[in-house]
Amino acid sequence: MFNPTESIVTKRMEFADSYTLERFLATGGYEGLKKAISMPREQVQDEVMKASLLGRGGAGFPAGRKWSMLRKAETSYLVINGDESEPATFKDHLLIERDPHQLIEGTLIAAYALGVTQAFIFVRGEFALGIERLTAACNEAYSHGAVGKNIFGSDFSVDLVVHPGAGAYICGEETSLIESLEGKRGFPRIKPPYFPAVMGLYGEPTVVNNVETMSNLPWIILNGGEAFAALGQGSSAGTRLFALSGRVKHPGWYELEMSKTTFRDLIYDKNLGQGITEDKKIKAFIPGGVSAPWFFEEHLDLGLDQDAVAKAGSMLGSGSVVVMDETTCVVRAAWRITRFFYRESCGQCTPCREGSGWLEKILRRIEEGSGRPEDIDLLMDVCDSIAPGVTWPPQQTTICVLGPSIPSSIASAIRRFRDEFSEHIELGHCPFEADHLLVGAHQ
Amino acid sequence: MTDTIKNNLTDIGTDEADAVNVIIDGKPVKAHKDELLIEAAERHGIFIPRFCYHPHMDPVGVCRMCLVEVSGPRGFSLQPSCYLKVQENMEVMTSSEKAKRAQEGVLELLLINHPLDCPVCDKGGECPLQDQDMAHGPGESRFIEEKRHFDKPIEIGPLTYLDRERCIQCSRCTRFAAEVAGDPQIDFANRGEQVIVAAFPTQPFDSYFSGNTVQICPVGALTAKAYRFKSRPWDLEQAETTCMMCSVGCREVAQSSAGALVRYLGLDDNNVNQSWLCDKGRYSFEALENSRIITPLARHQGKLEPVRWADALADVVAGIRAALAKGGNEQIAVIGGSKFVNEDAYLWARLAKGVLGSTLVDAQMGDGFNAELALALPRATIEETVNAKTVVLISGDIKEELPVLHLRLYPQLRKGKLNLVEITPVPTSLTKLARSRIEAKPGELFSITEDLLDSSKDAAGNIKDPEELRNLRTLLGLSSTGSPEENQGEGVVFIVGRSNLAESPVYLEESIKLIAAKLPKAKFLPALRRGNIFGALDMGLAPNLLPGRVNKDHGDKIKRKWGTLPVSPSYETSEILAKCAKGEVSALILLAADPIADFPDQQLVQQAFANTPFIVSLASHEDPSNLSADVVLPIYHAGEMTGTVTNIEGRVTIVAQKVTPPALVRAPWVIASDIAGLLDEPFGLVSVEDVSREIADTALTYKGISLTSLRALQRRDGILAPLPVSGVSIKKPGAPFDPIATPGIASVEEQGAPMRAGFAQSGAFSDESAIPGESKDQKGWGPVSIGALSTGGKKAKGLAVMPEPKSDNHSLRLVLNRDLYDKGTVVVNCPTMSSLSSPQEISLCKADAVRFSLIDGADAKISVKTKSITAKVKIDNCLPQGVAVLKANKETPNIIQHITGGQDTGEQDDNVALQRAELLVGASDLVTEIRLEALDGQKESK
Repeated sequence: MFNPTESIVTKRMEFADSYTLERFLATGGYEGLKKAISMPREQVQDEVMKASLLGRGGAGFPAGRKWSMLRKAETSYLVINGDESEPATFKDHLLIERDPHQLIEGTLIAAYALGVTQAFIFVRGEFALGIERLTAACNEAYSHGAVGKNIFGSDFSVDLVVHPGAGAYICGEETSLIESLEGKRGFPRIKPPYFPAVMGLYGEPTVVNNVETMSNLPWIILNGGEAFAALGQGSSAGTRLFALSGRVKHPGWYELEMSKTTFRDLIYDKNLGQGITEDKKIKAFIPGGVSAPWFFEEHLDLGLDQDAVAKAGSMLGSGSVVVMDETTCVVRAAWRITRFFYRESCGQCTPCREGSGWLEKILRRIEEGSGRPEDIDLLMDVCDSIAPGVTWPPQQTTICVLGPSIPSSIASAIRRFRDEFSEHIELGHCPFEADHLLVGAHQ
Repeated sequence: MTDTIKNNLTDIGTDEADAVNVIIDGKPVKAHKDELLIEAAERHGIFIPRFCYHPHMDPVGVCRMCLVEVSGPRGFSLQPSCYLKVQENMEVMTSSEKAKRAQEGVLELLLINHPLDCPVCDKGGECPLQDQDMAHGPGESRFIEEKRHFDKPIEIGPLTYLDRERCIQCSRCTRFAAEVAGDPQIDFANRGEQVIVAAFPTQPFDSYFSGNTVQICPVGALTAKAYRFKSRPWDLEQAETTCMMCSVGCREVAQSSAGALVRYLGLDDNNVNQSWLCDKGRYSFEALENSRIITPLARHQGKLEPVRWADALADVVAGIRAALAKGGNEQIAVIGGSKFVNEDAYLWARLAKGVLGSTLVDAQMGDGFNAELALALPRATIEETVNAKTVVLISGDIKEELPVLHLRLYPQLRKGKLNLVEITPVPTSLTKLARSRIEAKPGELFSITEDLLDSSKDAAGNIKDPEELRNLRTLLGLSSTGSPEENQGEGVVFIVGRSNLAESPVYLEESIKLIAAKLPKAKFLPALRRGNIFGALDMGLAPNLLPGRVNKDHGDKIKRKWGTLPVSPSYETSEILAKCAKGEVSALILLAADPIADFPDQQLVQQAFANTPFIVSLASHEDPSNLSADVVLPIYHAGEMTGTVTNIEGRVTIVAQKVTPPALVRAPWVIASDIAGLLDEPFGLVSVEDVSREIADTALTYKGISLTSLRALQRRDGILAPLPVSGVSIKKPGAPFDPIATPGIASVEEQGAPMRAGFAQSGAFSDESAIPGESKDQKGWGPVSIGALSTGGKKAKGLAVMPEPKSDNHSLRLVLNRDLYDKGTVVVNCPTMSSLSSPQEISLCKADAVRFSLIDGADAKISVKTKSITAKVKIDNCLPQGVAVLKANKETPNIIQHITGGQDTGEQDDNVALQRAELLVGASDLVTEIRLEALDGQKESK
């Protein structure tokens, strides 16, 4: 049963002028920052640790732990990852566009806790309005004394740069984001070193955090880490912003308490998704972005809980939930997702560069009616060349995790709906009507 | 392959102390600390397939071909072995089912878009993708879709074509260009499957080193214009040899097909060129076919006409006898020899000095410096130079003059492993990586060196900041307190050579002596540039020197063999030419020398040629000098000759014949032997091996080093002369070389498919005491001590007159230096390279241009006294004020009409020859002051 809770990151969304400094200040803006800089750094870190705030970018790594791994050095950096580019994910978009000051405040709290004096917010280049508002907010924050030298009269100084990305999904991967920020091609770095906290931007220790993660910080500082941890359950503390799309009556963003709410609530509750379009039957849903393996009817009662979802063989990832109903062609769905990865593969390492294209071509061929019976096993075998065993969590032959994300949808579709693939091949055309598309127009 | 070499492969110098224990495929092995897994495995005979890995570049792990299973905290996982460093107790499975599946998967994926055009691909037959697919691939493809298409081939640079469909995006070429060559002219464009290698729209890939990208490309994506479609790998025959285009002496293989030389490939010898070549060396084989002199020529009634060898030699001997009849040691001059192998040079030295008794013998062409000084300096090896603490560059631009040395220095500088200090008149290609640059305008070098080495001085040239000066002196290993215990230049290597041909070498020579005195532990790399110049000097083709880096005071052994030794004093080329010009010399013999093109003072050469009655030229190609001679004797060119050569560091290697020379062409040593025989003083040597043995017997520094001993060694990087004290074991772990970049024919014919690990490992040779060496202290090699050097006829120009001439307000000082593609014989005769030689330009900074009312691109008249040339103005704001730069040998000079000649002046346009910068230089001038004026109608409008 869905229980409405306090909004943490979306509390200003009801105001049309939520992005302005006036509205921000009128609704408790920068109070968290003021409180934070009056506290010792260690205590701020401690509150975040207590809040057990999981990273909201996709991997779900605890933010407090990430901070504690920062190598001690003369210079270190904080980089905020706002390169949200995955299909069906639109939560950071919202936070950047509608509450940029909250993001800046969170960023400054983190900068204070980490003792860094230079922070960057890397924003997806296509967020034109978001970049405009965030840049304006950054300038306002400078004028207001919230960013820059001696913030609010304290000893604490930090500079903030808003950096627009150049249009590549791969730059959401933290090491290629760093490369891009350094002015290079957005190629992910090879590991080891595994963490930017050891060697990141310009070779210095760097913390890379997600926009939503940062947006939670002002509330955590004002209300205490324990209050945050009291929401949700276990390691999945607090609320999370979910992006619901696909075949539901009421798609959109929802800030929900973690664990306590289930996928069924999200999709069917009258205050949330309101059920499947035209009241059709659900066929499958993606629980956490297109990199995640699919869930089906039997998973509806799982809580929106990181561990529970992982245990069931997928991930909560970026918090975007895509619903497919009985009119959805899974071959086409898998193809559309694969085509996205194919177009966004950076091209650096072989399995992803070549494998994504091959998979896309086979899927399109099956969807267009020229499939061969052996293509189904071939698909799985090519997936195996990118992610050996096609397991979850995946193993990989690639440098970064974009590669092993590709097989998720293909393997989910084949393992559950192999007969549907065979049907395409036997019929020589797609058995579904062409207007029931997952995303976008048919090309 | 000898057993010694084989054994060394598995057991090269892993010191117990820092050994790391690793288990590879169940076999416990010892690896070096921080060694890459792929290298450790290879040393132990386990070849892991790879494409992007290259032993002389940083690993990137992008092709994923080398995935192996490696134990970690969470069990075994697939890891790129080219990127992973060994760790204690690491367990590795290179051919487990999972590893093999991953390797098969990568190969299948690499091949889906790779065109199957092997039958028409240059790489087919020596292709790492082909070979490794045979060994590790799945056998057949399941890909039935359409492959990706690109326009092809793209002319990505003047010497290189790119086929983007064949490219497997391994980034070897782009990394080489950026990281090794320092010419980041190519990079990836686009994303994902559409990633392509591309040059910038306005900048072709014209790096001097572009050919290396062709050699290391693991597929046929990059092909060389000069080799494209010329041959198939299985039709090639090859011989290991040494490039003679400059004194670096890069090891290479010469490959021929149907009797014609078609390709040079760099050999990985670790110590010299690490498999790299410059484009000038790599594509120089084309010159073999063009403008060759294939028969002896003699001048009859003013015209050079083909004659029989017997007649030509009779003419030569008659000329020599006539000259000898005039008496004295200064009647016959012998210039040149740097294009010869040591055996040729030795026998010509014996003929010139031992038989003819001449004191007019010099292999240098006025573009080097005192040979005795060069040979006496404590010499650094290339390895010592690139691993030095500090390198001080007092020479021309290394990239232009000794290109592959640049390739060795650049990566070290880029990684910050080396400090570079430049003391040069104008910036060089390495300036941007230099820790410090001292501007030494023409005439200032000595005073700057003096100030720099004198800790009591508070400025040196443009370095006036005391802190900077202190740091600089520390970098040079200069004692700040004057205490002798301090390191006195330890770990510092000075690269010393001529940065300016329009400046007297005396500044450089005196500076070197000062440095050697003040920094006794510093070492030197003399940047003499011509092919086998060090071999020629070592063999005695230099004033005052005899074979083996000794002078006549230590020439007893040589005297016993030769009978006589010449008397002192002896003269260097500029002095010899001056004597010729005055008509004091009766016969001039040019040993593959072209002073008309190469000697900096053009007027002097003209007078010398005009006033010498008899000129003989040994030459392989037509050039202005030999077309002005009375007798021309055709000789071998690189690719045709056999012998040994000595490089910049004193390393002796083998030059091997690969193709048959034209029928009437002879080896220079044979000609020397014939002439000696005709003069009734036969040498009694019948083969090049005989000559080589005589060198080993008579030349002190070549004791134990001969063609025969070098061949027996099978050592790619030859031997450093002189040999070390007997019994010292040189045990140097050979860094793994790249079997997939190894010249294909070797991998196919000698090794089968290259998946078998390392053959003919360089540096694998373990113990040089096996060579008959002489236990001798290094100091005993020569008498030549720097302090005792005679400066001969130049004494008057010594320190007493060092204060540099002042320049007036209406003139600039000329810097005459070189670029790689000049109008030399080889460049001009290589069809793919000849167009790369840029026209003459006068470069100067904006301020000076404004002063002389010159605009960029306009013609300017450049004059010294009454001599003048014209050249286009190029504004270059990197240049200091007061200096203008011209390039040497930029226009083909006229053939000089000389005394016995009549009409044969060639058909060249006089105006072209008039633009040669060499016309402005006087060999006896300290510096060259030029005046500039805009030609009419091109003055800057005010």
